[in-house]
Amino acid sequence: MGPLGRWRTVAVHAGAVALAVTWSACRSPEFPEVEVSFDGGLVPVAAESAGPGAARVVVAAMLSPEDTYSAYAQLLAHLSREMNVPLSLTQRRSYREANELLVTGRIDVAFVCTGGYAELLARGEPVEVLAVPVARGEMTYRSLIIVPASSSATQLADLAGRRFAFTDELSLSGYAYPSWAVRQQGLDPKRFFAVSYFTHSHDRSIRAVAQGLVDGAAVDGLIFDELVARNPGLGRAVRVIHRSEALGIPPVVALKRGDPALRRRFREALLSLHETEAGRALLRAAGFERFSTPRPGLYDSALTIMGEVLP
Amino acid sequence: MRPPRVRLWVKLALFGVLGVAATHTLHLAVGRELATNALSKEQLARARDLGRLVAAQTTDSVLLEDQVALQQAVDRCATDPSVTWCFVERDGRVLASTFHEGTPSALVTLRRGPPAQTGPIIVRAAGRRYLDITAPILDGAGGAVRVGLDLAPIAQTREALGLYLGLVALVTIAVGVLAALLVGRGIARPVKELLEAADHFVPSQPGPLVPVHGNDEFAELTERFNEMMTRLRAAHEAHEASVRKAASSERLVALGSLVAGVAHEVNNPLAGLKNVQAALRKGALSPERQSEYIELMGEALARIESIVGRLLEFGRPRPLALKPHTPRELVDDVLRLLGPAARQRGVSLVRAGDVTASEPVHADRVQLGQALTNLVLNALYVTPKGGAVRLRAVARPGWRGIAVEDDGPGIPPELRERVLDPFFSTKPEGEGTGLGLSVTRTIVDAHRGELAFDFPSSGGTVATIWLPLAAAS
Repeated sequence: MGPLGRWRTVAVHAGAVALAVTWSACRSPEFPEVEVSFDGGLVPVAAESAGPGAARVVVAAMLSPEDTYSAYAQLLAHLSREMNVPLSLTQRRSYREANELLVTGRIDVAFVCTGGYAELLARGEPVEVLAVPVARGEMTYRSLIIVPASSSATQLADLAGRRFAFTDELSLSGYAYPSWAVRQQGLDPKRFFAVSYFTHSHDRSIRAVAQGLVDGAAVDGLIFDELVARNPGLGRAVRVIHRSEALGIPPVVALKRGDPALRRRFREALLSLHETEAGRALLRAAGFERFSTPRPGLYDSALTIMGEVLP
Repeated sequence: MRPPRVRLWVKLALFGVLGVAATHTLHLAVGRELATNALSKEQLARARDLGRLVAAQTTDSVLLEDQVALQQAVDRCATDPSVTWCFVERDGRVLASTFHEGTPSALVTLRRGPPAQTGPIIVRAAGRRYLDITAPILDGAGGAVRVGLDLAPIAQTREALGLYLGLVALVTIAVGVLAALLVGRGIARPVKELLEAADHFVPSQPGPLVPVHGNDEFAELTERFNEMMTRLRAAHEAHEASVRKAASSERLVALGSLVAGVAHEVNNPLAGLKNVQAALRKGALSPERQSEYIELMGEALARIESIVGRLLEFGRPRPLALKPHTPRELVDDVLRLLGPAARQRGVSLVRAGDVTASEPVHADRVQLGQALTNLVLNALYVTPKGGAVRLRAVARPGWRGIAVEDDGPGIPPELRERVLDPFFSTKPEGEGTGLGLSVTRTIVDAHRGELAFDFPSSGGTVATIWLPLAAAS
């Protein structure tokens, strides 16, 4: 091979290396490319609406919207299949908004909080309890006063002048009960705490206490137990300093002026939920054993408390 | 044919320029691509982050059907200057959008399957390019946030980067060329100095050494070159000295042989003289014998005189008396002079060939006659009885010559070189002085002629005296 040939070989190799380097460097992320015309039709902004013929179910914001969705979306899908009726899940930030949807007929069934139920009754609305969940064999739950684990408070009175988290102004466990308890001690609940917040869900209140954002909070005992069971760290970060008496559990309600067939089918679907394995799994996920018809007088104490607290 | 010479520094400079240019072209291409790819990836990551952030922010708003909060979230997203659109879609419905007039339906349905597209998509619209990404809300159950990023800033950055890198490359290439030229020159200079030194190097003359710059390989080469020049000069001086020495010894040798020849030649007549003188001193000689002896003494003295005379002739040639003579005249002189001697030896001395040439040559008739005589005597001496010596007139352009051919045995090759040496003779001692051919040579040289010897394969010797034509000289 002559000197020229050797040079040519070197040049060819160098060229190949250069090409390889350039090629590897030039490889841009390959995304599909689509030609789109913006001159076609326009889609206006549309409010959320259920499909035609769907029954709308509102779930009061006892949990954060996301947690509520994950807890109730599958349950409603299952009920929808059982009832052969399309169901759509609706959420609102406050219990009062949920109550308004029910009262104005834009909602057919509501998973309300006990406080919300009491407010509906207080307004004289024809509310019918379709079913109540049974948790640990009981149709009741309790309001818990919790403080950070490091707090020196041992009773509600120790939280005077401190920061406190309520859930919702229509919440029995998260607002009405602690206000009632303060009032029982002859104090003005509006001035008892230095600062108070509405977190609009029990899980947010629990987290606020665990993180030390507030010095105490009143929360739903069922939700607290569920959350602590799933997240033991949270249980170690907070301490319960007060438990209320047993109160009627939040019910599933509908207005008596609504479609009776829907009410009946919804009740039947709830009451028979625990009869299938799939239903039991969904109930377990929600922290319930089954749905039942409420026993008489279940909500008496709740109504009493709400009656004293509601303006 | 030798290819045209390309200077070393030009080659080096070209090599450097090519290297720099190639490297920077590669750098330019690769660097630009790497940079713009990094920008693209950065932009993609940014779009994804934005999408995820908006999705996280709007999850509650979607679930709570909070139209106002949703619109606030997408509007906030669009405050980023690179964001062209941001909207929330769920099952084909747009819940909030930065397209306040209405979102283009082609954009809303862009990702509709099956299978639904979830990766980044480049959207070309109205001559511009956008990067569309989607971020699911509640794993898609709550719909998705769509973010569109204008890719024009990237294209502009890419162009700006290309320009900037191009400028850098140009400057670097220019600097590289300059550096290559300087380095090339730097390498070529010592080579040039060495070449000049080699060209001007004369071993017999003292000359300057090549200046040594620095201490690199070229400095080493220069040092070695200087050492070599010094060695060459020393060797040349030694050679000259030895030549001078050899010449002087040669002269001594020649002088020695001359003296020895003279002594030998003179010795014989001197011995005769001594004997005769001793006989005369005794005085008991008859008058006839006395006069015979005196005659002998005269002969011996004449012989010595002749030897010394020839010696003088050898050492000091007389000035020439040049006159135009035809070769024929010169040949005839010799024939007349030596005809009897030849007849006595039984050898025929004859003219041969065409010697009627009438063109004259300039010659001193006496001296050239002697030169010819010497040649003919030698020829007669070696030619056996019954043989012939031929005198032939020869010619070549501008020259005329007289060749003396004999029928002798010729001269052995090993002796041919020496025939012109003084006192060299093949004759037995006492028969020749060894000066004949030397004298002949001296005379021919004085005539600006040439003395040539040929040894034909047929035998014998041809001795030729060449003289320039009178017209030419």
